[in-house]
Amino acid sequence: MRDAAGSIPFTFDGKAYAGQPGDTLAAALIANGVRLVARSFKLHRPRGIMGAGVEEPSALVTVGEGARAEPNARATDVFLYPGLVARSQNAWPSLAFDVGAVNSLAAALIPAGFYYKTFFGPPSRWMLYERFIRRAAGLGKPPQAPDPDHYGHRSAFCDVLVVGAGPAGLAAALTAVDAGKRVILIEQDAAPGGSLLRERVTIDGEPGVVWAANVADRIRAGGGRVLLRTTVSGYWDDNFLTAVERRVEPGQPAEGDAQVLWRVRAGEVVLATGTIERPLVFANNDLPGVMMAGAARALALRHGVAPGRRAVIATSHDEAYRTAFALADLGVEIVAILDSRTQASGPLVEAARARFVVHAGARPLRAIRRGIGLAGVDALIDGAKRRLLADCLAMSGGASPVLHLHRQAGGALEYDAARGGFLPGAGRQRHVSIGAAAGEHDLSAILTLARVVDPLGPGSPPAPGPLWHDEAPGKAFVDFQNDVTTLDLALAQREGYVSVEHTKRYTTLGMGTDQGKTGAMVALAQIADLRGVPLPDAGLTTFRPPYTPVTMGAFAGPMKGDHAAPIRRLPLAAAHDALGALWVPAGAWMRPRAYLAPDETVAQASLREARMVRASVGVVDVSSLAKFEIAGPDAVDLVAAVCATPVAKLAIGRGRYTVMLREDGMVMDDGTLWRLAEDRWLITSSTGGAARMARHLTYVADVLLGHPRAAVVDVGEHWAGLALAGPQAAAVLSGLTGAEAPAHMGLGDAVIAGVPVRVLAASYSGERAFEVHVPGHLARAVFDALVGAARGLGGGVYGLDAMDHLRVEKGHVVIGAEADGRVTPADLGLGGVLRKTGGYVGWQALQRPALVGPVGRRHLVGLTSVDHTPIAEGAMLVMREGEPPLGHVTTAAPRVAQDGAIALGLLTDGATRHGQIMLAWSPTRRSTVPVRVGPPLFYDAQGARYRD
Amino acid sequence: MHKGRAIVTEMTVGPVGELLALDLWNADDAATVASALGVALPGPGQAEGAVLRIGPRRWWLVGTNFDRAGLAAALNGTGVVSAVAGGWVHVQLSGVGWRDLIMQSGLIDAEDAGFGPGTVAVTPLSHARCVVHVRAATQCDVFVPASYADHCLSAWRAMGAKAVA
Repeated sequence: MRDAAGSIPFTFDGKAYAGQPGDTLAAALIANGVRLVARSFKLHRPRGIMGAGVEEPSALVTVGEGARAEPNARATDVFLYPGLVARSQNAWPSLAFDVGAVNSLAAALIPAGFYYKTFFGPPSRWMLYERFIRRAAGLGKPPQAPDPDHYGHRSAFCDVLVVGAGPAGLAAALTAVDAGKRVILIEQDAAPGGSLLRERVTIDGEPGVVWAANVADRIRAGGGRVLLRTTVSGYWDDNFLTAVERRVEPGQPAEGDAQVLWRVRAGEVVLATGTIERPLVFANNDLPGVMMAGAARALALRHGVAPGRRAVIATSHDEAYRTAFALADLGVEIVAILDSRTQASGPLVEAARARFVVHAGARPLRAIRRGIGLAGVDALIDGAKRRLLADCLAMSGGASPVLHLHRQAGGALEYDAARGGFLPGAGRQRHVSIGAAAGEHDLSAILTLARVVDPLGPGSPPAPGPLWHDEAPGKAFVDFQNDVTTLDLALAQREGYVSVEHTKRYTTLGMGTDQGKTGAMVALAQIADLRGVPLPDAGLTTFRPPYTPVTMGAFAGPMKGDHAAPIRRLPLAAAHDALGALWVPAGAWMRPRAYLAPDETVAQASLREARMVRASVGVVDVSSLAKFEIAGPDAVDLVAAVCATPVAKLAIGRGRYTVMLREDGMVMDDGTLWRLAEDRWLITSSTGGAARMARHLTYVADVLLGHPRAAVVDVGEHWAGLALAGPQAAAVLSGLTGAEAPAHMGLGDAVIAGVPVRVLAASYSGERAFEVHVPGHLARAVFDALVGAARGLGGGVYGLDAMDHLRVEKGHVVIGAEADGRVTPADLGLGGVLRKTGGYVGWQALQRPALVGPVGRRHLVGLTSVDHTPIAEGAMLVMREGEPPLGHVTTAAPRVAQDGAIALGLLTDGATRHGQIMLAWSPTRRSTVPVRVGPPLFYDAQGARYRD
Repeated sequence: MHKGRAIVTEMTVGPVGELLALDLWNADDAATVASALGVALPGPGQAEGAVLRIGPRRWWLVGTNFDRAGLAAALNGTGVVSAVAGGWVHVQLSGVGWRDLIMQSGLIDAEDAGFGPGTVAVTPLSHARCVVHVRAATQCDVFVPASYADHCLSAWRAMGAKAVA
């Protein structure tokens, strides 16, 4: 018995109530006499509680306050906790008096698809319409403040995953545990039992709910994992499923994670997902007080709540008769049972006839409204219309197996005419459906090893009567959440939206958070009737994940704030911080963009740093560059396959610029190639292309060359890289190592600050330059020594922007900007560096006539701003504004060596356009700059500055 | 501080020290090579002392007890040895919750009964390709790519792990 005073305080629309432990919000509201809970989506019709779980289509509320408010929570799927704050939504100024209800009066003007016929005009006008449409209709409002809760992700593996802890699921999970399997049992309710929570059966001498709890305990004791308040949201490929566990109720503060997204890989999946009851379709079937028979029974038997004082039961099968007994035992007057079957019999029916008025061949025609709730039912009884006074109408049009996960897994469906619905057919993955989800109704048949005692005796399987009719005036709803009526479906058919997929989009049938859980089969029945085809031929829409709404926080999980994306830090990050580095993301890496002096802008700092390099010496961190050591007797073959430049004659201790191609001949990456020893090579390549290059090397080795005797070792992180550039670079290096610096493109080992290092003499700036490679964990002392020595000669550190300025002036390409995946080496002016004998990846493709002929290709060019105005990166290269572009600006920079602005670009037949004046035109940046086309080289054309 | 899922795990963080990658051209030569090298070369997914199998034809030699030049000579053309220590950070996870931490960070079955002491897995954890070496029922070593170390340690602290060094 319920405690009349209750013990858990909560509020709904600001009014204080109390409920009892284990109550859903829906049960507590009804127990407190609250019948009006929501307003409908489009017509703002009054709505009450209709279901008993996640299938609830109407009673959507906002639970929680402030940033923790969760809109569109189903009142039937929220368990009470002290201080719960719930509010109705989509109503103004109040739920009882909602101005939006005028929509209902004007319903004839806003039928299905009305906005397709009404809101014409230019697209910009839709922006205006949309504001009003969204204000007039819709669901709850999401909070605007950041979500204060934390969400977790967790992977799990098992031999058997059982979805649903009803009797079938519990039995299956226990059997698997007893067989020594790793088992996970997932149940969306707060308690195991499923249908047992709303029945009076005893199993092995225990009440069903006690038996369920004991079985769950045995599963846990056997090593199984039982996840309650957890809903499997999606069934993906290879028996991978996602499930969302609610650790707290909506709006409830959490100690740890509020929700956890489980990622489960299962050997086998057992779907014991049960059924969802179908509504009956008659006029005003959405009034508060009209509910599913199973939901009324759950209120009575699980929560001890009477859904009304006088109840009519309307059904097409035996199961709803149980509701009559359950309600009557709580003191509810059963006005009548309307059974659409003309011939109903059996122990359950006979027991009901002995106690209640039962009308065979009878059905509701119209619910009668008084105020905002149900006052009675006009019913067709013995061929005549009769009015029955009642404040509760418990209806049942059969039950539909929950097939969402089966379908998401690719399982087939089979139509069962006797049950008037679909059953799971053959599965595509390793899954099986059992229990009610597979059409099994008899508890004794499900629990073959248990002794089941049902005091009411077995009933016939749930079967549908006429699934729909709308012979009385008033709206007969098929999809309660989206306000879709029988008239809407008929209109869609008349207007040519025959396919169920078209009907869905035209009417919004099956959309929203409900996704057709209650209305889909009824709608299909009507569509089939209207089209004159059997129900299975009406078609099905796609069962898409998620099964129930998943909050965005659960998807994000711990990946928020600083963890929203992985950040890769340089080994010398702390040293750069100490120097005041301004960081910039470069892919996943954070790299120093510039080191700002007081009152200096980024542009000023970058130009200062670049000029410092030209004048004396600078140190830049290039640790993020990709580096691969290729070692072994066959290493030369692998290197020769990957690098398109000459390889074999490269002497030990020497290096050269190299370029790597895709198999289609396009430039994939570039860098340097060094011969460290007879059979050991070092390739450096771009930061952003590191992962791609690692895959490419493995592909070439394992697939194209068939596992040569060569190891590819990614040493990108092992070696920190510090580039030392400028006319004083050699002096800095010699001063620190006590030895002569290597010649250009030479390498050598040295010791700096007591740390062994490798020195590669290569330039990316146009100046004499070196890369000092040092194991990352030993790099700090070397860095400090280099910077200190550089400062002693008027130099210092420089960042990514300065490095970019320098390389643009020298005409070096960068992967992504100039080498954008659509250019050949020849397009970039690199045709001369290729190996004449071929034999490298991409060589064959480069022989294609389209690539051999120079006409029509985009070439790398240099662009000089005629009036020194900065050039916009990405600007189109045109002869006149508005004309089709002939190319685009890939990178722009200020001149370092002198005033002015320059850029690199890709220009059709650019090599033949040197000397032309074009426009770098960017309408989005409102920039038009006249530029002179020339070779992509603005500094030291002879290369005198970087040679010895 | 968010308390995560009440993981009972402590993290001890430090540089790897010495770390060599040993590649063989043919994994079937492992026994012969092991004999010549004087070190055990464990099978897939296994560790033997300070030697970890981390790929089809790759082992890691962890610590200072290995002479790179001597190993290279002993290999006698059957493989190569490369230094990789600078690229990795060593994290020791201790406590009953380390498996939970791992399974929050990645999609790996750390609860599998076979994933016990002496086993090795190469797997993404918190987006970084890590090497996990199970040392005891309540302890494992995780080798984290150095550039991802800050990110991973921060993520694991947020999940409830506690850094002790």
